[in-house]
Amino acid sequence: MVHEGERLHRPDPPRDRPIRDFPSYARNNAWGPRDGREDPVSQGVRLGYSVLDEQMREGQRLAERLRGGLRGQPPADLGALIERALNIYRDIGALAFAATEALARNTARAPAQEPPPPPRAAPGTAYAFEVKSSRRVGVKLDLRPGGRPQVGALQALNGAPAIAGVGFKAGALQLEIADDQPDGVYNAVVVDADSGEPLGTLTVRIPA
Amino acid sequence: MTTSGRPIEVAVIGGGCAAVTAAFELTQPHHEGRFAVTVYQQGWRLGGKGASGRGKAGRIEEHGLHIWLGFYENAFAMMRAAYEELGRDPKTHPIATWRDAFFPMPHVGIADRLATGRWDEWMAHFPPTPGLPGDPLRSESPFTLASYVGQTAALLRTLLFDARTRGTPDGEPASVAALVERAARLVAAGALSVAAALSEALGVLTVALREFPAFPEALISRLIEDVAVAVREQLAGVVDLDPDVRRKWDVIDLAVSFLVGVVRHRLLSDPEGLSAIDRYDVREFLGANGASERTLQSGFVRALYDLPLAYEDGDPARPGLAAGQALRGALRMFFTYRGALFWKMRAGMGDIVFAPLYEVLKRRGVRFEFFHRLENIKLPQRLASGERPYVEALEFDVQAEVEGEYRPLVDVNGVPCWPSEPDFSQLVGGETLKAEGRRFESHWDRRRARAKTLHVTKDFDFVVLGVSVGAMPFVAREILERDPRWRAMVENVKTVASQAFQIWLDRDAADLGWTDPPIVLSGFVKPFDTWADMTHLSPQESWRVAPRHIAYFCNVLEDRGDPDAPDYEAAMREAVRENAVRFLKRDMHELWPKAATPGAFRFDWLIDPEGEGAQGEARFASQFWTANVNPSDRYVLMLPGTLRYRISPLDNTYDNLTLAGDWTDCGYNAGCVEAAVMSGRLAAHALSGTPRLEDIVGYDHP
Repeated sequence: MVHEGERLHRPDPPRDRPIRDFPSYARNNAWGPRDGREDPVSQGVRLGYSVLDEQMREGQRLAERLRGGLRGQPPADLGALIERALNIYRDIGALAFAATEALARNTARAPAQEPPPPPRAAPGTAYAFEVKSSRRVGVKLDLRPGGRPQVGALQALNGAPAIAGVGFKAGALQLEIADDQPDGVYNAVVVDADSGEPLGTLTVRIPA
Repeated sequence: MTTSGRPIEVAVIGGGCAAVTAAFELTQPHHEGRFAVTVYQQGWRLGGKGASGRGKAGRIEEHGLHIWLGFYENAFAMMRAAYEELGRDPKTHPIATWRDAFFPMPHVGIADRLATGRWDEWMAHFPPTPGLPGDPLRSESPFTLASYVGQTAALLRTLLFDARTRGTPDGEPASVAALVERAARLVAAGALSVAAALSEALGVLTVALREFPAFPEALISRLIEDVAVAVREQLAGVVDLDPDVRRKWDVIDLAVSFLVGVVRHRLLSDPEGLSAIDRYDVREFLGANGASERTLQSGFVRALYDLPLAYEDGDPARPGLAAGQALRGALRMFFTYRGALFWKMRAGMGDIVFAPLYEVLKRRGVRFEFFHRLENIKLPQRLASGERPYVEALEFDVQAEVEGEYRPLVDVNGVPCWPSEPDFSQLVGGETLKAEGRRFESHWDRRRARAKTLHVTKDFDFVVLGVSVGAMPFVAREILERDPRWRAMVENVKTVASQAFQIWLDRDAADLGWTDPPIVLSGFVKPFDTWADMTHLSPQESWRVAPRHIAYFCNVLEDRGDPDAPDYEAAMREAVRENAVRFLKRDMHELWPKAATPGAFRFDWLIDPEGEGAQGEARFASQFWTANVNPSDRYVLMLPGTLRYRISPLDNTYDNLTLAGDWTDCGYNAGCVEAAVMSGRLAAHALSGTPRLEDIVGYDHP
C-alpha cells in the first residue's frame, strides 16, 4: 500500500486479466511434457505430419464417396429408405439402429404397401432355409459376403414375444415359429461370430 | 493498517452478491481487522437482483427464478463458509447448515414445439457427480479446453454407441507416441465410416486431448474433422423420425459443431481461449461450423438463450449471446458440475443467501447504512502532475432517517428473512412515510430525508462500487463524462428488464395434469418461457392452509414506453399482470391440461392469502408479479462483440476505486451469481491482495 499524505492508493496488481490460453496456463502450473518424453514426442510429431501429408488426398476421396453415395437418394418408397437406413447401421452403430427402429415403427403405421423385392444374393453366400411353422411366413435374409453369421432372437416393435428359435447351423438358417406366435414383423441383426461386427439383417413376417 | 494505525475504511456501495462478497472477503479473519467496511444500501434489504421478501402469509416473493448451478464453486464455497461461521444449532434452527439451505435437483426440462404444433417436454436426468460444489479442487484443474474437447468427444461416443466399445483407450495410461501412431493409423485408414473405427477414433481423441499439448494439434484437428464428416454425412438424413432420436441428434450435432469450431478457429492454442469467438453469436458460430438450422432452433438451443434472458432490449426477435461465453458456460455447466447440475434453495434467496451473510458480516463488525441511495461519484476538479484520478467524494440521498440502528430481518417460522416492505415503525416519521407510499427501491421515487456526502480520507479510503451497470449513467456521471472506456462500457454492456410471476394453488401437480417429477422447464412459449415447480417452499411460508403447488414463471420484458414518464413503473407492472393472465389462459393447457383449456384457466384454484377474495380472472390480483425495470435490477446481457468493453475489478485507473458485479470483466462474463461472487472476490483482491487470483476458481479458464 502506497501512502501519500493521508490518501491511500491501491497497489497495481501483477496482472489484471485471466489466463485464457492453455499452453501458458499449463506452463505456469507445471503441466508441460514430463521428463523423458522428448524423443517419443518428436517421433510422434514427425509421424503425425507425414501421415497427414500422405492422407490428404485419401481423405478427400473418402469424403466424395460419402457425399456421392448418400446424398440425393430420394426416399421414393419407405422400403428403400429402410434398406438405406439398415445399410447405414452397418457402418455407424446404435444411433442409426434407433433411427431405423423408429422408421420401421412409422412404416408399420403407414398404409400397406407392396413389399420390396427381395435383394439379390451376393455370390458365395447361399444359405438354405429350414423353417418350422404351421403358418405361412415370409423370411428375408440380407447378408454381406464373408464372416461367420450368428443371430439372436427376433424382436417385434409391437411388444410381441421374441422368436428365439433361430440360428445358423451347417450352412442353413434354421427358424422355428410357435403356433401361437402373434402376427407381425420381427427383425434381428446378424453379426460375425468372430468379430462381433454386423453382417446383415434377418426379417420374418407373419401375416395376419 | 494506515500510518495512523486506524483500519482502512472501505465504502461498499450496493448490497447485491458482488458487493456482499467483497465485504465478506475484506473482513476475513486473516485480515485481523485491517479493513473497516461499511455497506451503503438503498432501501431496506440486501440482495440487489437476488433480493427476496416475505409478503402476505409469509409467502416468498422473488425478483424471478433463482437456481444455483453445480459449477458455482466460488459462490458455494462462500455460502458453506458463512453457514459454518454462523454455527446455527441444527436442533433449533430449521435451516442450520448449507445442506439444509440447498438441495440437489437432477431433472431439467426443455420444451420443444413439434411439427404438429404440439409442445413436447424433454426430461433429462443428469446423474450425480462426485464431490460437492465448493469442495477444494484437486491440484490438476479441470478447466482446460483440451479437457472439455476430450469430454465432448467422449459424450459423442456415448451418444452414438450408447456404451463403450471394445478396445477403448479411455482411462488407460498411454504413451504419447502410442497414441499418435494409433491416431495416424486411423486417419491413414480413411475408414471412419465403420462404427468400430469411429468409436476408436473418438476414444483416441478423448485420451489424446488429455495429453495436449504433447499431442500434435494438427493430428487432433484432422481426427476431429474426419469424425465430423463421418457422423454428419451418414446420419443427418436419417434421424428426423422420432422426437427422442431427433433430440439425441440435436445434441450430437451441437457437439460436432463445437469440435469443428474449435479446430477451425484454432482455439486450443489461441491466447484468448474461447473469448476469441465472443464476437460471434453462438447460433451463428455453431451454424457456420455445420449445425443444421433445425438443431439451431431446437428447444435445447432456445433454452441456451432463454435461461440468461439473451434478448436485446427484451425483444424475442433479437436473440444475442456471445459464442465464447455461451460455450464456456455450457462446458462449465455440463462438464464441471459437482453433486448435481442444479441446486434449489429451501427458501427465498434473501433468506438463504443474504440473511446469513448479513448476520456473519454483522458479527465481523461490518456497518450497514440502509436507506442510502448513491447519487453521484465525485472526482477531483484537478489532479497533481502524475497523479491518477480517484474518488474524492460520494454523494448520497438519505431516503429516511432511522431510529437508532435499523434491524432489517423478520422471523418467519424460525428463519431470519427480509420483509417485502420496510419496517416503517423503525423510521423517523414512519407512519407519514407509509401513508405517502414511499417506494424506497424505486428509481423513480427520488424523495429523501436529506443529502449526505462522504469525503475521502475522512469517511472512506477505498470504494467498492457494487451497483449494477444499468445504474451507472445515474451515479457515475462525472466518470462517464471524462472516461471514454467507461462510456464504451455503459453503451455496450447492455441490460434487459425481466418479468416474473408466482402463483399458489390448492391443487397438486397431478391435479393440474403434470405427472412428471418437479423440474425447471425452459424453452417454452413466450412471454414466460421458464417455469419452475417451487412447491418445496410451502413449509417455509405461513399459510393457514398450505398450498399444494407453487409455480414460478419468468422471462425477459420488452422495453417499451418512455422510462421517463411518471407512470412508467406502474404501466410496466400492469403490462406484466396482463401478460401473466393471458399466458395462463392461452398457453398453460400445454403443461397443465387439467388446470387449463385453450382460452381458459382455473383461476378459482389460486389461493388468496387474505381469504376468499375475488373470483374468476380477477383472482390473479391476489398472487405476486413483478416488472424488474429499475436500472439496477435489469439483467446483464452477453451480446456478441460487447464483452471486450467490460472493465475488470482489477483495473486501477481510479486508484481508490474498484468495481464489483456480474457486469464486470470477472473471468466468467455472464449475468449470474457465480460471476458476481467472482467479481466480488476480485474486488477484494484489488484492495487487499487476497484472495489470490489462482484461488478464484475458474478465473483462469479458456
